[in-house]
Amino acid sequence: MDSVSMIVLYSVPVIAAMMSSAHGATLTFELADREEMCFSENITKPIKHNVEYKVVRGGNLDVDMKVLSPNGKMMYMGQKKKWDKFRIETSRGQFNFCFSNEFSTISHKVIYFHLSPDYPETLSAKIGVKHQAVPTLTEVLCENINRKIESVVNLQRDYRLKEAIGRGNAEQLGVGVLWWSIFQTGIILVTGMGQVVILKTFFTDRTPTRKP
Amino acid sequence: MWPSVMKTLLFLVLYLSCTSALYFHIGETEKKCFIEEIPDETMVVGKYKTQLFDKTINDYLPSSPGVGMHVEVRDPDDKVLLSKAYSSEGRFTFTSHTPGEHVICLYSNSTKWGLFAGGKLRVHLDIQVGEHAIDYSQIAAKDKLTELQLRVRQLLDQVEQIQKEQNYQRYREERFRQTSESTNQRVLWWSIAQTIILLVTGFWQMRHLKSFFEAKKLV
Repeated sequence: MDSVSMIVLYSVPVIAAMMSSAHGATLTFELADREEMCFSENITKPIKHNVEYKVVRGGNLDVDMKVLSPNGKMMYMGQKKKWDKFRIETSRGQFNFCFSNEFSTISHKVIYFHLSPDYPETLSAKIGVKHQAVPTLTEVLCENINRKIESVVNLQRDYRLKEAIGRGNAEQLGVGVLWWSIFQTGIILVTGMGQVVILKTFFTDRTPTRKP
Repeated sequence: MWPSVMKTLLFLVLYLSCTSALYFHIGETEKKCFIEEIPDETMVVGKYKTQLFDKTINDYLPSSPGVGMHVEVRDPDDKVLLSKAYSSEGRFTFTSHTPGEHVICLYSNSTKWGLFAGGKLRVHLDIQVGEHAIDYSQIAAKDKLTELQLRVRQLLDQVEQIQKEQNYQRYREERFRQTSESTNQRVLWWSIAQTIILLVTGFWQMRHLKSFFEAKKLV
């Protein structure tokens, strides 16, 4: 490797540290039974962050969730919750977001998790422009449109999640109904035959005792 | 010399956009899967970076190039869209062809690092979907757009993504309706079948008992 690219390569972490990107993170992941999964984020700017989680599928749609601050303090604790949305005050450092399914022995869960800094993501921030001169009227308008679009996107996401939860419920219900009807068929057949057998024993058992 | 500088710069751009990402830890043979429910024709870009724990400085350091990750992407029909092994740091992209849940799985290929890192590998992961996955600095440079044009382009892409999402909603609605209709049909047939089962059972009971009583000479 030549010297210029070496310099560029070594300056990467420095520049990377300077540029903390604004976008948040959205993840949907699977959590097996008796499992704990932690996500961490090194927060570089002490600003408020929005946290949201939802159990999309599995069991009673509940999960334990906690947020730990860099010094190990519990900032949020949710036990067996289906979903929650909250805001945390952050300082610089590593924040841990832990999801636990340890209370559940059989159900495998799918969890949606969203973390984002609590300020509107501007168009210029998206392309990495940090500070700019006084914006023109058109630019301001563009940013306004962007804000509206962002809210539409958020609403669509909420809707999609709700729909996914609804679909999961419907599928679970379908499976439940299937098994219940198989079981019920069994009950009908067993009862039908059982009745006959019992009724027969009434007549067969009595006859030898009565006759002599 | 210059091409290599350009290559490094490109790498730098990739690296930069990877800065803010959530990270998690995985074990040697552990497989972590993430689900992205997306419309069709949507681009997904994932970037990851792995780090190993170093005992001497008590911190995580970028892992050696020998540590690799295997990335596998499956579409809603469980067909493999992408299955590739990458090095300790990588970027994968794919475009969806069918709308629905795409599963992205990551697992480590080697067991070498397990010995000295306490069996845990730190993975920084950033997955961007739709217009978030587009690299505008590249577009601006290629199409020679002014800042304002670029903004309009961004808005356009956002609206396009919304439209795709809207189409996906319609698709889901249609599928849901089909499911409901088939459920309705099944419930109807099932209730008929159950009535028949009930009647047959009753009939059998009566016939059986009748022949039984006749055999016992009770009637």
